[in-house]
Amino acid sequence: MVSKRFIAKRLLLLVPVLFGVATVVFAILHLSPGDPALTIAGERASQAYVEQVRSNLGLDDPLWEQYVRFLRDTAALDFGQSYQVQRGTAVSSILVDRLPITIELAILGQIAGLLFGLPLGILSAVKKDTFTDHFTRIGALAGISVPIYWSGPLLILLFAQIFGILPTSGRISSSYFVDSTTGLILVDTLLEGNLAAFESAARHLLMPVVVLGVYSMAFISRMMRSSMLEVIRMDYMRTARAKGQGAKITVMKHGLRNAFIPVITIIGIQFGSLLGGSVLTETVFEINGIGTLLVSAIERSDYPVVQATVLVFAFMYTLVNLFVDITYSILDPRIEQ
Amino acid sequence: MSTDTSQSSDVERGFLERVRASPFLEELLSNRIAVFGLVLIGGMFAIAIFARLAYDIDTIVDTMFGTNPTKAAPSAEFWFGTDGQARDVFPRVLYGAWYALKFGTATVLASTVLGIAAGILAAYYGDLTDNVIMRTMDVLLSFPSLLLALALVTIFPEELGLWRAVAALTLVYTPRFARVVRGAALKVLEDEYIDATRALGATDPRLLIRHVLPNCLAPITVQSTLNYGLAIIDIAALSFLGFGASPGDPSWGMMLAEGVERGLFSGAWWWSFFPGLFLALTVLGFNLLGDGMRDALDPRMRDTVD
Amino acid sequence: MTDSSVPSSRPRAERYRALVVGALRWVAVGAVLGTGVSLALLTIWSPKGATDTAFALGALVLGFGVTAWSSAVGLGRTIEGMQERLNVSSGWTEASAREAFFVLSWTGAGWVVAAALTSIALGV
Repeated sequence: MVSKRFIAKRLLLLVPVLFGVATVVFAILHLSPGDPALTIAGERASQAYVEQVRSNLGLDDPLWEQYVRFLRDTAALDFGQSYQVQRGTAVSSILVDRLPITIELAILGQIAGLLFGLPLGILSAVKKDTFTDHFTRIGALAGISVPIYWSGPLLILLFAQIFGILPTSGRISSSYFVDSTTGLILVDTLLEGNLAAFESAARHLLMPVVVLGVYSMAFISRMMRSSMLEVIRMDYMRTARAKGQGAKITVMKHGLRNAFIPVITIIGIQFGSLLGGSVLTETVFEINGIGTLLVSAIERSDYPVVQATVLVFAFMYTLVNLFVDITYSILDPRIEQ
Repeated sequence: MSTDTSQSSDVERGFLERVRASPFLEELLSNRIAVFGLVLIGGMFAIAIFARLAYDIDTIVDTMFGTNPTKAAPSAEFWFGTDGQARDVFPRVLYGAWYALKFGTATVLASTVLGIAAGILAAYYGDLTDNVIMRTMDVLLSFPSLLLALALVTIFPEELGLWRAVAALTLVYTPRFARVVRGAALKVLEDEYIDATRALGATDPRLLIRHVLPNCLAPITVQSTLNYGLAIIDIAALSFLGFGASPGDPSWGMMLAEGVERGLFSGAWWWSFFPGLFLALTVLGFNLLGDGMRDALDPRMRDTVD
Repeated sequence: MTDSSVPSSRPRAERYRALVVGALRWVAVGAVLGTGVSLALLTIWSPKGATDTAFALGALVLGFGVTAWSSAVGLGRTIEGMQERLNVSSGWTEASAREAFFVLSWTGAGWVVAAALTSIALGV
């Protein structure tokens, strides 16, 4: 099973991963032509004022000095204050507000993708080369082809404007006020026992989750189909089929478990695409998560916000993959032996 | 790719002859889904060329306040309605096909060239050079393309407009081509036939270009087709997020961004609906064709990982 | 699952010595690159602009190398196992990835230090 040493080693590896990511982001920000001092001071500010802003931010120091300072502050978990997006606010408090919003969306999207993608992939593999298989495969290709920023507006048009049964954007109707305990709005409304608010939040989340889920579903069903076909081809499956129906069912179970293993690994590795998809989903549905935060911070050269947001992405990505790896070693029969 | 290139006669005959000899085209054309993709793409190319010839870019970008109604619904006069600047959406959507194919082609071409260079360098020098190049490509490949593009696009100055998105995405897609080319190049280098040519005094770069390219033309074509769709969708996504096309440009991504932000919630659905429809159909066309080509090239691959 | 380092018949001390020598070699290469790029950029930009850009480029190599190295160490076994299961081979092995990013990391480190020293020498 999973040894403590394995987990300790992987957690220890977080240090070089985050150091590396921090260094890359720092480098890219300083290679890009955007000038935060000019953005803050405004296009029409005097040269002297821009220089003063630059010097206040420490952006006129040699880059290596800025780098050392940045590493020291980051190691102390001090991400500084936002330059522009929410000027003067501590970046850590912006993240605390916005991060749960994206996590909730990403988790629900992934669950939706798995719920539909896995069965479709298995179905497609078992019924290989039949109409069902072709239909599912074209459906998956269409799911990858239709961009989120079109399927989203389409759903808004249909369900919010023509049928009028779902809200267009945001997270919850403005008539409810919910205290942020966990930041996950479905959990918070339940904690308060406010079922009406919970229903409103769920209705707001439905379309964004579907849009994100379809994208993830398309990917997962393709992977599941490939993996399942590989397992079906294996010898022990053939033998079992020859032995008859009863054995077939037992081995189907075993086969399924074997087919899941590579898919689970890939789910961890493609967690990043889900974050990419949530950037677009949040933009379409006007959800103030970490994705929209990142885009506006990049647009306005808000260095502290970009740095912290990317570090948080990297942190989540690494943790998800650690979690996936633990699941993997539990499922992998070779480890049990 | 598992197309068999181990025999020197295959190398000699080259790609086109092998295609004629192999059931590749026959297989592809018998695949109705791939043919449907081909028809979609053909239609888009026709529309793109028509729009480029029929419309003047200035009249497509200029606002038409006073001349046309603002945000008018689709009608006999304005087939796809008008937008918030009173521009006729129909010619803009058609012109968007020209934009998508022009910038998509540029991205695919540039990443093919860079990928060929990287792949041949890696295969030719081998050892540590090969290892550093290919492992770097693997890491870039493991990033989600949109997030990587978002990081890279900031390095290029804003004045480049859509070319900024092209530059960033070129770097994002290069690894896919590098991997394909390196594989083919290694096979050619291992081939005894090459040793014979080398003994006769052919210079190495000439040798590689002459023999590697014909051998990986097929996988490169499949990769380009799949990447075409991805490039068009990613360029539009970058424009949608504000990194690429400038306001008013007849690019589908920009029309979607403007249409969603300023049209959708006030009921002007046509402003974003039609650009998105054309975008989705184009991308679907490339994906269907690319999938079909891959199946025709190597039927076994259909059953394993992409 | 235990440490995935390659088993070696050589004594431990000798392996460490080889690692240090390798690292030093690539740091030296990086230092040459860092100084070279700084001086080359000096012909078109001010001393601060040139050394800052050289430093940022080095940081890019360093950060990329370190991130990729630690990901390879962390995910190496998983990826190798997955390739084995799916019966595909992309030529990726944990050992090759570690080697490649060892080179990039130390080159980047040398580069960054050299660029910083150049900027101090130029009195930026």
